[in-house]
Amino acid sequence: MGRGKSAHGRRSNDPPTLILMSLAGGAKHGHALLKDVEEFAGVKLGPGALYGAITRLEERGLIEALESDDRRRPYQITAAGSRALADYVARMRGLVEVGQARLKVARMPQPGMA
Amino acid sequence: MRTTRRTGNNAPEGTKGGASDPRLRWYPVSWRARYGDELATLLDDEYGGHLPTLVRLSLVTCGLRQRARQSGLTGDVASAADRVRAGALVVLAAWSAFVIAGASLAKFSEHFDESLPQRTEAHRVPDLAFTVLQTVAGVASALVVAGAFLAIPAFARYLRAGGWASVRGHFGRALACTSVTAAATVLLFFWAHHLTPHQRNSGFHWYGALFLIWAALIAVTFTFWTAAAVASARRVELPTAVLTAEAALSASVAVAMVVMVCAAAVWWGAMAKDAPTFLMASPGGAAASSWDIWLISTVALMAVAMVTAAAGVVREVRVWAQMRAA
Repeated sequence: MGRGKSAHGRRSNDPPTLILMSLAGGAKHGHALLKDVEEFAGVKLGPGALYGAITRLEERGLIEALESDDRRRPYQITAAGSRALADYVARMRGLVEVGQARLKVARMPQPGMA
Repeated sequence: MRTTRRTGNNAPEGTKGGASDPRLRWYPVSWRARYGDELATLLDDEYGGHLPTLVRLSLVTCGLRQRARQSGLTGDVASAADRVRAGALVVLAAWSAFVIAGASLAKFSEHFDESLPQRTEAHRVPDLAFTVLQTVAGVASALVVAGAFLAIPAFARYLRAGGWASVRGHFGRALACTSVTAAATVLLFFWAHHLTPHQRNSGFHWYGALFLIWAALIAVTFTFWTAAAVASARRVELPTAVLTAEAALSASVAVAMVVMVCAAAVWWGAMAKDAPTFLMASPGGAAASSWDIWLISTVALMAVAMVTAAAGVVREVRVWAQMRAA
């Protein structure tokens, strides 16, 4: 996976990344996923985008459907999905640390500057 | 809760409710069978009975995107063979648009030779460019026909296995449109014989209107036959050797399209230099310069078709490269 890319090769605000993050907190169906993503990321996903992402994630084995008698089928993250998300979060943490360190340097008064 | 393993497009039993939901009609049938119920329920939960326009548009684009993925046009979910086939079919569709543009150019350029100055040098470049255009068009058409012949045995096997029902609608539309076009052709032919050359060439507006309708019918008929060919080719099982040959043929057709666009541009430039009055007096109406709107539209359509075909070939080449690397 390239630098700055998510578990599935997209950017951090892409629906698949947000869905993986949401499902890492527990199994959810479509409606609950939309609400959770809106709450923790401030992103309002459309139903079409949500199910496009669910399709791709399920095809890659990163999430799986749970059996349900209800028409609202819940999904849960798989072990592969958890690993992919962990890799992505670790990479993002590295980027955040670099950003924070550079911001500290930028805020420090430079010698010779008024 | 127990997990239920499903690969993307295999519909489990008992989940057919959302498959017929009209709000999801843009999605592929197999996708609707798997996810339709859930998405329809989500739409009901979120919006009740009334979908906002933006959500409707989003469903259209997402549905079409899903169709493109499943057919192998985008993404890597489809098999390598399906992706190569999708690339070849993009070239075929682009070729159909190119033929329509080519017919328009042929009509526009009728008797262009007579407008050129008498000196030989003035004829050399436009004549050569037009000859190249016609020759390459002939070769490319032969390649397309060869591709169709190669697929006939597989198509026959598909029909014998009961596949006619799935393509019947496409062929029915194409045949119906062909009948209407044939009737219009006969009508136009007999009417033209009762008109003077001046009346046939923009002197009689009713004839001009019928001619435009006839040209549109030809284009629609051609489009329907292409749709039938694409629908059939998507369904048949092509042996690897045939698929490889189809890919090579489609790449050759795409190269031919590049050559033809270049030849058309050279012809246009040479005519603008040596016989600008010919371009000004186009059948579409007198233009103020050699930038005639009919010619611009025609060459633009040729260029768009060429770029589309190139995208199809890039798709094929990428898949071959991935297969080799694997």
